[in-house]
Amino acid sequence: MSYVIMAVRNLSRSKLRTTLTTLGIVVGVSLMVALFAIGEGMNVRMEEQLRALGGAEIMIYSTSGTRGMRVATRGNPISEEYVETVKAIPGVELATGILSGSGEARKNQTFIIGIDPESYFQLMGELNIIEGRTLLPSDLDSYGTVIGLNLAEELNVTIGSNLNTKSWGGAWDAPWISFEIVGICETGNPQQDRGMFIHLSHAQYILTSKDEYGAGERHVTQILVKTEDPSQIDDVVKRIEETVPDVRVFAAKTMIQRIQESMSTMILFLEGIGSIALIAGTIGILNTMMMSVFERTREIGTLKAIGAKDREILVIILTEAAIIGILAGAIGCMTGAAGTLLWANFSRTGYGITSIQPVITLEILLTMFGIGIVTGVLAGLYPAWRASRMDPVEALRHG
Amino acid sequence: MAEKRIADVRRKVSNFLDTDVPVKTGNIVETQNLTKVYRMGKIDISALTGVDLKVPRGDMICLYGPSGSGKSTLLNLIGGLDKPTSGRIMVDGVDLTKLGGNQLAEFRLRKVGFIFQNYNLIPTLSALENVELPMIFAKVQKKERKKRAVEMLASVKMDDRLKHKPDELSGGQQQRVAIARALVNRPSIILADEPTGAIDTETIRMLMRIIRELNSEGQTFVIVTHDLLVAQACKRSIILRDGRIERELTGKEIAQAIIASGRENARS
Ligand SMILES: Nc1ncnc2c1ncn2[C@@H]1O[C@H](COP(=O)(O)OP(=O)(O)O)[C@@H](O)[C@H]1O
Ligand SMILES: [Mg+2]
Repeated sequence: MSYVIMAVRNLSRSKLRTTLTTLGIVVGVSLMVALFAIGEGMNVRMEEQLRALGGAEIMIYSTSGTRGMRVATRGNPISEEYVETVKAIPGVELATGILSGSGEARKNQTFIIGIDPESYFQLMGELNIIEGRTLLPSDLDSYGTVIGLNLAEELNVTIGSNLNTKSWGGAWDAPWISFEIVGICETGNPQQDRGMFIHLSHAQYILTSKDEYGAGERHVTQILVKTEDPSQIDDVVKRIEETVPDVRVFAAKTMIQRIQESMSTMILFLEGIGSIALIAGTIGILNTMMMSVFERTREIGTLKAIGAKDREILVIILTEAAIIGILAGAIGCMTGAAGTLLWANFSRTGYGITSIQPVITLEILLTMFGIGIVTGVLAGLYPAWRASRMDPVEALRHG
Repeated sequence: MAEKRIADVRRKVSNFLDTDVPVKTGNIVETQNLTKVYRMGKIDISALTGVDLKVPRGDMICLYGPSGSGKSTLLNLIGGLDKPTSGRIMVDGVDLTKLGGNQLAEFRLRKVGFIFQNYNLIPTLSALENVELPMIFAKVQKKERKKRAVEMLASVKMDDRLKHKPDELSGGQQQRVAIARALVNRPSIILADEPTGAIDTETIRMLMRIIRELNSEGQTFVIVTHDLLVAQACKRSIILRDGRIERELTGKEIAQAIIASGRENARS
């Protein structure tokens, strides 16, 4: 028999109370695990986005409404002719237009990325091709596509397979194209790895044409720009804004800054919520430990009478608190991880904030387990101190 | 460095009990002019006034008196649970008035066994574990602990109930476990505060037989009671009244009082 066994017996004496006490920290810890995992996921996502930016220093999006565009397209349209306008602006070295949006291939949702292969790869660098070849100008006539590895695995297709593709949620007579897979790539960007690189005009047909027989609108959703001199980016941004109507122009570095700022606010906010839950849990433990110490006043008096020193009483009560902390930390880590994985599963195909894939690291779990224990012990400190300082005679006279 | 200091302190704490006074008197307990005053707001309550008590080694003494006469107060002072307002208490050569909180705890651990009216066993622990408890505080090795706990429970004829929790035992059985717990660190003295207060006559007899047996083996007892059967079982009885020692009660007086109260002789 040891203090640990004594503590466990005491805790199991009122199981419901112990459970409720533990619950407070469990909630706090699991919330924190989930939040940290999301924060970690945000970090990963940002790194991906940075990588996805490639050589693009300036991005141009439209501010105007969805004129003639399907819901499926991502972002608002910009007329394709502005790509040439931008190219002509002094200080611009390269510009390429992209039309992207949700597509459907073999009944699965995919992400369509319509590009002009020459200018796109020149600006963004080559795709990481793991099978077959990259997208070529000649694929315009042969309807070639390079798809992401994850999509290839999901659809169980390979080089040479055909993919009937239309816009996501499009009607039965929506325009569609049968592509032949010429390459499989893995870029590390989850959208691209579940996506299809096709020619810009193919994307325009699929995503913007009114029906099977109409031609697509000559639209893009983004224009990416590389400057001649990166130190002049701000000037170039200004010139683009002056030249091209109804667009928002971002320099990649300010965008990254902005993402970083909003992310750190977000994480701070999340940590705030978790801390509040933990503080509530701590107060819960403090409260129940005080109650349980009070109820055991005569037992504590007895322990003192038979020779327990103040420090030993302190250790006995703290052991109970630590066990609550260990239990709560472990359960909290498990429920937090489980909840996070559920969220991850649910958010696999979403966009924006919901598309963030939470990342659970061992570090997060260990930290939160530790915090659970520390919380328990901290909450037990005061009740344990009170118990250790009880006057034995008074305690023995207690009801 | 720190460890060495702790070890030093520990040695001091455990040695003071043996080396404080070189010559031990024949008395295990010796109080001089012992006074305890409780302050209740503006009123002072004198629980004990000028008590001089001597308990020789191997004695079995009963403190008899009405409720509120100061019996428990005196017992708690002798047991180092409380400190006197003035006066001196020597227990087994140790001057309790000189000890601090931790030293008093060590004193209780090594020199005193307590028995309470309501047994005060730890409800979550089995009989065996309850008896082991004082040895855990005394840092006795696990194996030795078990062995001694079983021995002690056997000496109170409870070795057939080792695994039982207190609420699975009768009052008399619980008190026997409590006696074993009080004995297990081989104390100089056992202090019992109304140990039979909640027990029927038949069981009181059995408990007192056990206590007398232990006393005949040399264990010193001080028993607080207002039960004549208990008083009769003791070697000496001292009457306390209003915080003072009134006088010693003779065996004849006790016997007469028992007959007068209609209860039969406890020794038959
Ligand atoms: N903690 C205390 N505070 C105030 N008065 C006390 C306290 N303990 C005991 N007393 C008083 O001291 C007197 C002796 O009490 P006690 O020793 O418990 O008597 P007994 O055990 O003989 O019944 C009583 O008048 C009691 O009310
Ligand atoms: Mg009393």
